Amino acid sequence: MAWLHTWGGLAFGWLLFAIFLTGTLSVFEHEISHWMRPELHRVGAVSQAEAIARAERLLRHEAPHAAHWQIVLPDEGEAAAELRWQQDGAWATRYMDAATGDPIAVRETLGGHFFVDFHYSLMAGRTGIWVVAAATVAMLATLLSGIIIHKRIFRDFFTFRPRATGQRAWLDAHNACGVLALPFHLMITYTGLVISFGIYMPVGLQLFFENSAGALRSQVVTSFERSVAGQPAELLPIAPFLEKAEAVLGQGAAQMVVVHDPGDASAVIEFFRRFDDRIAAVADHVAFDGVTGAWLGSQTEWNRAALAWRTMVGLHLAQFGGDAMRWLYFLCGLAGTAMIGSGLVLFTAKRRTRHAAEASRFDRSVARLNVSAIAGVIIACVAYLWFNRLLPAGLPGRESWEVGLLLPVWLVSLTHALVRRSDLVWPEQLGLAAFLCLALPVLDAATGGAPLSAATPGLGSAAVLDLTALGCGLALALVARRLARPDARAVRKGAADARGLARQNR
Amino acid sequence: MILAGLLYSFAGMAALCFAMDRHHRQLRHRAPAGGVRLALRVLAAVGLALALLACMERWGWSMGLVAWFGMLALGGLALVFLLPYAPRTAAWLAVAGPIIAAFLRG
Repeated sequence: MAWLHTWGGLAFGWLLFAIFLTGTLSVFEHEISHWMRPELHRVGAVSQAEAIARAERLLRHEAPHAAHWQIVLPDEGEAAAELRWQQDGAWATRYMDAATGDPIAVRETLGGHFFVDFHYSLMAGRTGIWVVAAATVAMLATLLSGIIIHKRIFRDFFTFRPRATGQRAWLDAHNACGVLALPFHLMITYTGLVISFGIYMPVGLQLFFENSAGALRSQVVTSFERSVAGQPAELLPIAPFLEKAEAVLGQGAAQMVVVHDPGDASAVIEFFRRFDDRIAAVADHVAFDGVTGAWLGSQTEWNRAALAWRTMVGLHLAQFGGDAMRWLYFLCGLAGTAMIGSGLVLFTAKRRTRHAAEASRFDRSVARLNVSAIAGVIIACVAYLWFNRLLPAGLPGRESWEVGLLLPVWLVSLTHALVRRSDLVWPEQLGLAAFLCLALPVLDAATGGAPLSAATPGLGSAAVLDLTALGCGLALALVARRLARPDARAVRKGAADARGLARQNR
Repeated sequence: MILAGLLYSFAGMAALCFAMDRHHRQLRHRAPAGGVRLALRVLAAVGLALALLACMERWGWSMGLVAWFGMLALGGLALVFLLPYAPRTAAWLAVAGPIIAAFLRG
């Protein structure tokens, strides 16, 4: 079992570290997206009804013939409304200052969604999902085998001896991060696997739904959309429907407005409720006839089986329970990331002790690859935020540049890890990661993020992100110092001895 | 409620921890007597239960349970990484925490 834990952990650990880190960052997807669109940071607050009226004016002007309109309503934290519409099959997005009704020119970026996309598909579509699924199964196996081989799981429950030898200290940290947050690790890994069941266990879909996830969805989510009539008809103003929708969904609970076939006799106006006050990721909705204003129906009751399934999804997405809950997810996710990272370091530390001074070529390679798999990935994640601010806002294909530049960054880290003097690799790379984090607030202030402009009372989400980066930077600096210490001293001493010997021999 | 939950969970974990010989020695250089050990374990159970109550009050039972597991993890991790550097501070925090938490809720 120890064999499985050690080698399974090594084989998938590199990938799992990146998956866990980006997954942890995904918890704050919306905050990261907001940070990465500094143009939106200085907009004023406004009531939902006014926001809808202004969004409608803009949509009628910009996309009168679209098949669908979507208005994502601003909440207290974000006073910009996000407008989307579908025309000729393609979706377009526009941001609007809800206080003035003016469109805001926003830099092209994937925002925090990049981390979401990467952690479940590695930006590689279906193939990526399969690879991540394999890694997730390995994660479950490694977690369970870890519990089995941890002989003193209760006696060592609170044990951490930072001043012990390298291997012991890393083992303690690995165990603490793993055991104390074990319920979280098991939950997040298992639900992560379950979410995409339709891709790797499609037999149910194939048998009962013609292999279409959409067909399954249509049995769960009531659709009020009607087939296009082909008759032009004036769409009623949307904002007055808000009050009627709120009577069903709850005061201030509407989160998104969708209009199907605006300008057609079949137009439908639909309000979707926010779902951050329940675990299950299902949005209650009400629909009205867009031309006559008649009540078409609502869905606030859900199929029990569907609810159970969406609870699994909701548990993973962590969009419920407010900021505090997401901080719990974030910190537990960091513990998981630290568990994987310390496990990888432990692999080499253990073998170094066992094989004394003469580490094999394999061990040395693993030690070097560890650096780029851990520090290199951290650097790439922070670099993403740096590129967001440093690339010109109007650059064509900007979105692809932001993401595309990360691979070269990681390759530089890999090259550095392979050729640099071995005792300097860890401190230099983690030091760089720490610097990038520590300097992020400065970058934010210098490139128009206006973290302290207080458009909202208290700390805005961008300022909180800056502070979080600062905290992560400090933690990374501490780890960099720790990794620089024992080995570096030994190697430097060895080098000094060698030089002394050489001098004597001369 | 949130801070109270975290403080209770830290205190509960600390009581559980100091009921163990190894960690009790970090504090008082001797193993705990039987009665002390039992008292600490009871206090631990009370602390963790209060943390659960705080979570329930803030989130209701379904979300509260999820939050409770998260708080147990964070309380435990905070303790584990504080303990080797400042065992006395950890102990004082475990005593002061629930008092502060009680005020927060009252």
